[in-house]
Amino acid sequence: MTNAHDPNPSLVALRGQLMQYAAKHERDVRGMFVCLDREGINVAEQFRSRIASAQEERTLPVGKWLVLSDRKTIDGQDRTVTGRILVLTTNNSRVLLVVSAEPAVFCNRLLVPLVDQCRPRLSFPNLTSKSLMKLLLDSSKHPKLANFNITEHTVRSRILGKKAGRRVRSERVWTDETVQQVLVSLQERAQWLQSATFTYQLQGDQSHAEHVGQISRRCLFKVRGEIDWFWDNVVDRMLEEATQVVKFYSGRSRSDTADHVPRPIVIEYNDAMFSDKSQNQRLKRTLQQLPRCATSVIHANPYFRASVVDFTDGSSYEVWVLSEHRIVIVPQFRASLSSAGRVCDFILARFAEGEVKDLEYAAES
Amino acid sequence: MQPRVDNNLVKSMRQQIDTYNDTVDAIICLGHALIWDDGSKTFKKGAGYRLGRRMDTSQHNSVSPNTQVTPDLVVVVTNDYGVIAEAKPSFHGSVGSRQAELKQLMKYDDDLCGWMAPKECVATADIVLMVHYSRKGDTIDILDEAVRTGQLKTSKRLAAVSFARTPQVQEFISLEHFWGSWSDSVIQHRLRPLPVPLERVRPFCTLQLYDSEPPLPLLLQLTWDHVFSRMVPEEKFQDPTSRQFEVVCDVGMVRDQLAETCGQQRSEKRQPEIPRRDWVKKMFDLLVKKRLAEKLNDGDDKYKVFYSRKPDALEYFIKACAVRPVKSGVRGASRKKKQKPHPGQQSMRF
Repeated sequence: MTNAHDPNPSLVALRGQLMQYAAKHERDVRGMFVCLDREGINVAEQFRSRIASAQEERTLPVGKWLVLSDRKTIDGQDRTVTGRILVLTTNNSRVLLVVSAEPAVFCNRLLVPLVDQCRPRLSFPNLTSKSLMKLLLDSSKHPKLANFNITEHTVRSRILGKKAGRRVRSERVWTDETVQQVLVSLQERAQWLQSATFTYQLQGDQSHAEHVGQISRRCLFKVRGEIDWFWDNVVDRMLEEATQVVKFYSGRSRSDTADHVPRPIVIEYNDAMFSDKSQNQRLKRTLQQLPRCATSVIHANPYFRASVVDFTDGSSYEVWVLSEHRIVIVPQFRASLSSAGRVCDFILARFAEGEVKDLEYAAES
Repeated sequence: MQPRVDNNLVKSMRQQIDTYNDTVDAIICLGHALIWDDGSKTFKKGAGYRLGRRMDTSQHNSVSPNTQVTPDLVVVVTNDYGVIAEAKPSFHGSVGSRQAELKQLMKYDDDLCGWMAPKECVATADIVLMVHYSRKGDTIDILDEAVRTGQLKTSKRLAAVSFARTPQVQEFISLEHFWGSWSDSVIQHRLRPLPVPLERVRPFCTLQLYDSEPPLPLLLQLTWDHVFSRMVPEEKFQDPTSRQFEVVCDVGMVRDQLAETCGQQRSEKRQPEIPRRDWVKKMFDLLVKKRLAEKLNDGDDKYKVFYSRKPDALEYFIKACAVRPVKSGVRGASRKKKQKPHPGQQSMRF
């Protein structure tokens, strides 16, 4: 999509326009990556089926402008929320970039929930904590930066030793540390990252302006101050991660594979998570909390086996725990990209963060 | 009479489901172990196994000549050597009470045709009886006596292997040879016992049924979760107001999709019908009884299923199958109001 050495001129101009508009209204430029369940899905049509109005305003070589409008209840008052978004194509035909300079209420109350409602056709590519940290670390090492500090981040961690009630702790941390310092802190406290806000300054910037950026696991981002460096270094890296997510979760249905063989996914933990068999019950409860899903538990102890059906599109899975370090998820005949990603991300967020990979590779390592 | 869930029956059904699943896992693990080459860490070339396969008996078969038999497991170890296995998890009792099983083993004592090998034949074949480890003692007693009294005679080698689930750092199925002998001494030596790591085998194998009728709740759960969900078009799930979906299907269609989902991966002419049509029919009978389906008049065995989200389908169907009517007057049943007798009847009372 973009390349710092050979940018698409019209895209650069669009970025500039967005930044100017945002600066004029003292807003952030907000954006998100959206995955398509398959190529050729018309985003405007998907939106149109769920809100009062979704009009294509203008089509450009790199994308299109849409105007969205819907009635929402905000602070107890019913009102119409309207805004413009720019839907940009990327170098992956199943990943789109949506950007906007509209107020937070438009993005948070209309746009983000709208994409969620369009599942499984549209979905957010959920990154792991490890991918998010890698993105921040790589971005922070850019030679053009004068400094890059994390000022806020949200994390989760397990509450150890609890037999009932909430088992995952959520925290919001305000700080002013380098990415490396935050990484060490996360590792020491066995926490996993949900989102991060950072400030950065560019070398050679006479104004010494401090710019603010924010990214999250759902591939949502916002930036204030400048856009070019952020777009070329953070957004582009996020696109690479989003593309990996799409590649990983695509084609998992048994109907897509030769001879209908399964393509299992494994979530692997460094700790022997399941040496404590109460974790089986915890996993059972986590799966039972999956929104719009049904979980049949076939066996809970000492090994774990369950069937999960996702009622957003009829995807189904077998979930196995056959060792102390791994959860194995076996997609069945219907297993959409959106559903498989959602199930895995829910386990990572609510049960425990682990490394997500193909089972055959995990078995070899 | 009011129905109530019989908790003892629920417990018994859960045990039956566990036993059935353990047996499926054990059969798969034995097949896997027999075709695995520990040296090269890969499958032996040309080897393969099937859970259930129609094999032709010869005219010389002592029990069932010129017919077909369907062993639970057929393994081609090499093009010259095969193994037939029959799973009887709770093999116990006496020689007299196990005549049918012993005859079944003798049916396999034949130059069977239908192996996954060139010309569908192998030069050497062993017969294996698989039992749960808790039945080892009973099995030894029965087989020893059957051989001693001449009620079990085989020209081919007959062996018995026990299976047990062993949870350690990983979950294993432990396979142990404990009676008889194998033609391949290396295999016999390996099964001393051989722990097969389930994580390396089970997720890649989609088989969940073998040639024995599964407990009805298990068959219902597999169908509800993995077959009916496929039959509902994706778009219908996206209507947020939809709570129930109507699926028009017939017994044959559901049987075929169950076989595709939980059976052998390729359809071959020797593949037995697993699941059987009558199992699926019984399943639909229960769905109709529970008003989760209705029989349609426009065709044999055609139904409309009312498919909806069940928080735990297996739990639901276990309880549905474990319902027992309670007679009124039994303690705990709801009390009906005592009706006053008809005035004309009062004179009849003493």
